[in-house]
Parts: sequence; structure tokens; C-alpha cells
Amino acid sequence: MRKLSFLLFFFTVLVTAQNKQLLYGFTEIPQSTLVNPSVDLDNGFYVGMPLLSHIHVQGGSTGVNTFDLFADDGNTFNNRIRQVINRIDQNDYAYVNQQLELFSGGFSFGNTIERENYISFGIYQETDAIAYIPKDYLDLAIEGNAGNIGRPFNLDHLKVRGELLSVFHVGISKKINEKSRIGVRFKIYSSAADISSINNSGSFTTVEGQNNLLTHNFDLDLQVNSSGLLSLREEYEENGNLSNSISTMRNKLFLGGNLGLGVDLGFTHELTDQITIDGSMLDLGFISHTKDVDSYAINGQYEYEGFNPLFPEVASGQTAQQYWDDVADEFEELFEVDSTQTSYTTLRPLKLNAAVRYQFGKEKEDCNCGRYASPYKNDVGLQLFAVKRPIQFQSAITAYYRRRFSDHLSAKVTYTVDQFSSRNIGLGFSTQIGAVHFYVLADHLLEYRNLANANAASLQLGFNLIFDKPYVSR
Amino acid sequence: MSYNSVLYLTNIQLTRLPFSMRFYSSFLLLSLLLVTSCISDVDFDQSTDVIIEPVTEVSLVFTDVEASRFVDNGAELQSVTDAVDNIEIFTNEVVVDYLVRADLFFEVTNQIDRAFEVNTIFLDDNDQLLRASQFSIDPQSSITSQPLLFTIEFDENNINSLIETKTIRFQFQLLPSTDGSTLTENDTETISLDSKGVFYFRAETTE
Repeated sequence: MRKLSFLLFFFTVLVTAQNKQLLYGFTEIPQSTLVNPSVDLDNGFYVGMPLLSHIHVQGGSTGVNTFDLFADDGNTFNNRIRQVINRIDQNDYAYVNQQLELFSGGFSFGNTIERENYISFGIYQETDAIAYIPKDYLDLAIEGNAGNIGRPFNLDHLKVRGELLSVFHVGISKKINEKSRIGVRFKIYSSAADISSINNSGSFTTVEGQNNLLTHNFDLDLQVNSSGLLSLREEYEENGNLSNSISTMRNKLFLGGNLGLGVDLGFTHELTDQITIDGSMLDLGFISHTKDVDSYAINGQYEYEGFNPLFPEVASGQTAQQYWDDVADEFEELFEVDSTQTSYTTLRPLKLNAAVRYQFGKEKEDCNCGRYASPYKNDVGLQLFAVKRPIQFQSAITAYYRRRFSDHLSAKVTYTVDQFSSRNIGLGFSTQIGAVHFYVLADHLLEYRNLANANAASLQLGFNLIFDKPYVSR
Repeated sequence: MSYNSVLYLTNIQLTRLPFSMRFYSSFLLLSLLLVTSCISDVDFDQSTDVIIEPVTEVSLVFTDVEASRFVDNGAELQSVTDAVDNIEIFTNEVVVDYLVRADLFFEVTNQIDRAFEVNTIFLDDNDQLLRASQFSIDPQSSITSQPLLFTIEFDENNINSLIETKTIRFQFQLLPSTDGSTLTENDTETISLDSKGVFYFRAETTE
């Protein structure tokens, strides 16, 4: 039970939904090209410190946080669970995303001295999981059907998806005219493990009956697909440990897993000297799961209204026993789990970003001096974010202020409103001394006073080595 | 002090301090925020006290017996009986561990001008009697009134006799008429029975 509590805690606290509002447009950080491939990184070349260049964890849950469940306020745990369950619905979810860059790098190139185009590449590992609250399942388990005659318990409330994969990518950012840049990043996904149960449907309903007091209607259409997990289970059943699977997991992450393809697209356009708009579409792609696939399905309809004794003394035909046996068979068939190994395809969660920025506070005249080309010290703007989730697009809006204090230090403050929170304040720093670059970005800062009250949190940090363009003189 | 004001102050300081100080103070601030974060006023041990008490309603037996069924070759039968053996539902772990109470509801509608006794008999694995219930039904009881309602209750003290049940036997016993009349094979009136069970579960987490 303690483990469960910590798991609950982990899901409810540790971890906004893949929104990298602090990183987006923070162009001093090379990894900002991962959220918009068109950005102008404005350096000669960079190398990410292996395993340390981008460490990212984020997660959250809507509708419930640790405090809601575990507050030490004299109310009983049972009552709080009930209050939470009454408040949440099937659109609430818990979410976790983690990324670790294994390796990355990039360089500028071009015909002019400014070398205005940029190629970047790398490998990162990603874990992404989302589970919607199976509201009707919970209600049925907690209340039973007795107080719910006539109410359908919807089985589509079960929606879970999780994946562990690595991403190999190369991208190019290209200046197409004096005002505009476009970018594209090609990705190969190598999935080590995947589980998804998204397209469930059906219901269980108890209604007033025709022949008997009650009729129970079962309409079940449930399916779960997985890849990369069957071999783990088999090994565990055989050896009681997972030592082999862990090494095969490593192979699966390095293109030995189920493969997929994807693309990121982005643009940046200067409306005036000071106003810029930009946008990106990330992870437009799929993974084809053909290896180590294990899928289960339950499918069937049945109407049960009881069983009918026929008193064989006076009539031929079915006895109560035969009727009962038939009912038992029907139920067995209804709940029979079909196991298949057919391949399936998943789409990656598509993400959209858009922003409008206003730069101000000219620090220097146009002079090719200093590390960065832009003469402005400050910018403010609005950013929009949306991610495609199993039920719908989830979105967030961010207002930000970014300031370049010097060639060595920049900071960005964000205020974000999304499903998790209406007062999410984030703060990020990027610093560079010599070639050594470090950044750290964290949001939901107000909640750090008491993490238990947080519905979400995220942290990103990393080290890079960044080398200026040759013409830069300081 | 709120973090808004910390941010405000820090911004002022950042602009005035020399680079290195700015640099360190900013990191200090963010680290401080992250390090001093805490979890207060929560008690994880509470998750050991979860009690859920679902109540499920399930259709049980239903039947509609014509008066003619109590006549065989011109002679009245004293009773008709039917039974279900090998009931396995009560051996289910969930039932064994968590079922705490069950109420079985019966609705009987009698159009036949004769009195009946409805017997419900619960037997265990060895056909030993666990529980027997008898309800008396008056002649034509429902023509002038609502269906007759009967309940068999299994409470905390005798729920085990339901859990151990392997066979349930239903019997309609035809009582002799007061005026000597008998049923014939042409009688079409019926005695009907509908039923449902209300099952109370209680699951409690234990340390």
C-alpha cells in the first residue's frame, strides 16, 4: 500500500503536458531547435554533453493532486476519495513525460559570412504515458449498479497509453529570404515498449426488465495492444528476473525495436524589425509495431435477465439446470479474452506551437559585435501550445518575458494557463562562460512551496559546448 | 515573502550586480526554490484505511407456471420442483472474501384460484440443508391486490450459508382446495415469480 501511495504521489506530483513553454523560443539554448526546427541558433557549432545535454521530466494530473487525497485534515481518506471521484470525470488524466538526450550536435553553414543555415542532429530517449480517469469503472467498483438502474456504465472511459522509445533525428533550418526561415527535422523512432488501450467502446447497463425485475445489458468491445512487453513477461516467468531483457531493451532503443518515421516542421517570420511570428508542428509521425506484439480483446453482447426454471415434471424441454448452464456458457463467451499477435500502428502525440514576439530595448547598434546578432535585449510575447491526446487537443497559453542580461546570461519568465493550473509561473536561465553552456528551466514554481498541492511540474536542464561563429569578435 | 516579490527583488539585483554575482545569485535562487520545496500536511499512511462498499443488483430466477402444469393425466400434482446444481458463482474469491450481506427479493403474482406454498431451498456440496424459506400464496392473491413480495435475507451472521450454497431448489407446492374443486389441463391461469438479488460487498485494505 505504501508503494501505491508513492506511485500515486509520483503520478500526481512529479511530473503540463509536454508543453515546453520555457524552452520554446529560448534560442540561446541549442535544444530549442527540438521544439521549432526553424530557429536560428546563432552559433558556429555546438556539441551536447553526452547524457547531460537535455534532461527533461514533466508530468501532471488534472482534477486531483496529492493534497486532495492525502491531506492530513481530519477528514477520512474514504470521504476524500469519494469527493475526488465525484469531482473528476473521464476527461481528467494523469500524465508523465521524460526525455534524456544521449547525444546531440549542430553547425551553421551558408554562403555568406553570417552562415545563416543550421543543421542539427542527435539521439534522445523518451518515455511518454497518459492515463485517463476511468470514471465509470471507478463508479461501478465503488458504488455498484444498485443505485444506478438505467445508467449506462461507459466502457470507453478506459484510455491508457504508454511508450518507451528513442528518437534519431536530423534537422535543417534555412533562411529563405530576409524575413523568413523554415525548418524541418526528420525522425526515426525506435520503440522499445508500447502499450495502448484507446479505442474501447461499449457499456454495461442495468434496466427494469420485461420478463424479470431487472435486465442486464452487456456490450463489450475492449482492446489492449502492446509491443516489447511479451518477451519481458516470458523471461520473467521463466527466470524470475529480467537481466536479458534489459540488454535487449538497449538494443531495441538503438534501432532494434519497432520502427517508425516522423517529421517536425517549423517557420519563423519577421513582420517588422521588432515583431516576429513563429510556429511549429512536432512529431507528425507513426510507429509500426510488428515485433514482440501481444494484444488482447474482449468482444461480445449479451442480455441477461435471470434464469427460468421450467419444472420438468410437467413439460418437456429445458430444465433450470440447462438454462443455468447456457447462461454460464454465454457469460464465459462474453468475457473470453482473445489473444492475438497482429501488428498495429500508433501515431505519435502531435504537438503544435505558435508565438508572436515583440523585441525592445536596443542594446547596441547593428555591428556584428557580441555573441548574438539581435540588437535587442528584451522580448515579450504570447505562445500557444496544443497536443493531440486520445480524447482531444489539449492546449495552453503562455505570456513570457525574456531578457538577455549579457552574452553570458539570459533569463525567461513565463506565465501559463492550462488544464492543470491557472497560475503556472516558470523561470529559466541560460548561461555561457567560454564554450561551456548550461541551462535550467522549471515551472509551477509557486507550487514548490508545497509539492503536494501541485497538479503538475516540469524540470529541464542540460550542458552543452557552444562555439561562436568565426566573425564574432568580443 | 511571496515568490513574486523574490522574483521582483532578484530582477533588480540582477541588473545591478556584476556578471559573476548575477550569475550565481540567479542559480542560487532557482536552486533554493527547488531545494526548499517540501511536502507538508499530508499523511500517506491513510491509504491503508480504504473501505469500499459496492452494492450490486442481479437478476435471479423468473418463471411463469400455468395451472395446467399441475395436472398430469387428469390427476393433480402436489408440487412442481426445479433445481440448479453446481452453482460456482459463490466460490468466486470476491464473493468469498467480500460479500457481507445479500437480500433476495421475490415478487409472486398468482391468478390461479388455489393457494400455494413457494419453497426455496439452499443446499451445500453434500446436499445438506443450509437454509429453507417458505412463502404462502393465497388463491388469486393478485387479482385484488399488488404482487406479493417476499425477501430472503442473509446478514453478517448467516451469509456463509449462501456462500456455501451449491444447489438451489425451487418448489411450487399446490395446497388442497377448500371446496374440493381440482385444476384441469385446460386451465390457463398462471402463477408467476420474478426475483433479484441485492448483494452488499465490503472491501477494506489491511496493513
